[in-house]
Amino acid sequence: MKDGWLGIDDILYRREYGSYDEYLTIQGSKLANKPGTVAKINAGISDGILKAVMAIQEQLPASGNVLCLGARLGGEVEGFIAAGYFAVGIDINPGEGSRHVLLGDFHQLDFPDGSVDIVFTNSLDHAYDLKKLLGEVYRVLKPGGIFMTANKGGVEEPVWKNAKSDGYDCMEWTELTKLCEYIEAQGFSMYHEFKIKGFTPHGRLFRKI
Amino acid sequence: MKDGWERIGIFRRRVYPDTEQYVIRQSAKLVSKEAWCRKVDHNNMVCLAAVLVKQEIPFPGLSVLCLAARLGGEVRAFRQQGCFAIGIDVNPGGKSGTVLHGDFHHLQFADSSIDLVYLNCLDHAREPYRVFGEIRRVLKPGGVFYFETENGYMEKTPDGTEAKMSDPFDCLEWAYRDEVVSEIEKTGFSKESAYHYPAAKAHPYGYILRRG
Repeated sequence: MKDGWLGIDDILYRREYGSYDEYLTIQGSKLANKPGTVAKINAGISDGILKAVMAIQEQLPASGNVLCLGARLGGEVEGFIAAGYFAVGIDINPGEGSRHVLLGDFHQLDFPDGSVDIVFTNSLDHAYDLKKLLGEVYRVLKPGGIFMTANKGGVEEPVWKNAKSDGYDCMEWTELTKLCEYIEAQGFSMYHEFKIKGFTPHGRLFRKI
Repeated sequence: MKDGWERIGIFRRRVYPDTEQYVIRQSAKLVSKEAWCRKVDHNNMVCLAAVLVKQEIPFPGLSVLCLAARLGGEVRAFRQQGCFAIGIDVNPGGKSGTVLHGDFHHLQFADSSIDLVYLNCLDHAREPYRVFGEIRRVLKPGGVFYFETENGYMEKTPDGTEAKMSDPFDCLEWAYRDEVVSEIEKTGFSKESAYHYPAAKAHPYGYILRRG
């Protein structure tokens, strides 16, 4: 175990924070502290999402709404809109003047039960309480709705390359397959794998059961 | 024509030097009348919640966009009905959990992607026909344009004389609301139903129009 990290449910590691407020403050400060990095990553995400969605379109509903969690500047939202969906993001710091991302915490979604067709996130590595987050995803998805994730590999896998951690990520998993099993245990069934360009290349599709 | 106003189709609009001046002026309303805006926002939510429950629309799960939604009272009313609802405004008042930055003359959303678009402030549009075109573009075929309005300036007074302006931020006026609904229908909608809910004050007349 790395110093300053906690073990959770045998397969997760989470950075220690003094309080939930401290977690929110630190996560919310990334945009101001690393604006160049965030903007650069954002530009790549839009194109990456559009290409990934086009490549797996038979696995997704042809239309519908998409909620992107931890969407920061909203590159993924733009990608989904380019693919024809009604998409919006939430983030604890969407920056000023966002046309794509609302203020919101993915541990406590401000959307009704059973209202969303697709939830997307590439930010599970920024979760504070993964089980609570997955419970919210389950709640807002329509029956049979889709949870689409893009993730890093696990820290105990040979492909793990976290040397470039940005210091803001706060959740790690031992192995990607264990993370997927953990998600499935919260009421989902994994049905497809795909690749996506960028820092979170391992795409997975889950269906709410 | 009143001084400082010009005709556009059946409407008359306030003359601004350019689009930028229009956006600056419209964005200023929240700052200069914030307490009033908050009160109106709450009333919008309560009134819309009361009328939505009477509509024969299966709301749960619908994708809803509220235009010029300011502080988002209408967004919250639609969410209460189970909708996936968000709003846009040229000034949502800082970071918002309900309303994105956006201009109803240029929507940031995909063609044919939304089930229902709600609008209660056509009186703040600069180019109404462009707004109708954008609503039609983003709605799915068969989607609903949910339009709320007040009376036209020839309908506000009991003796049929022209009413005075009530809000210096308004920038679009019309003589009769039925003429507005006809203009909307001409852009590719058909009226399905209408109602009157006086408590909604600035927009007590509701129209449900369906995109053809």
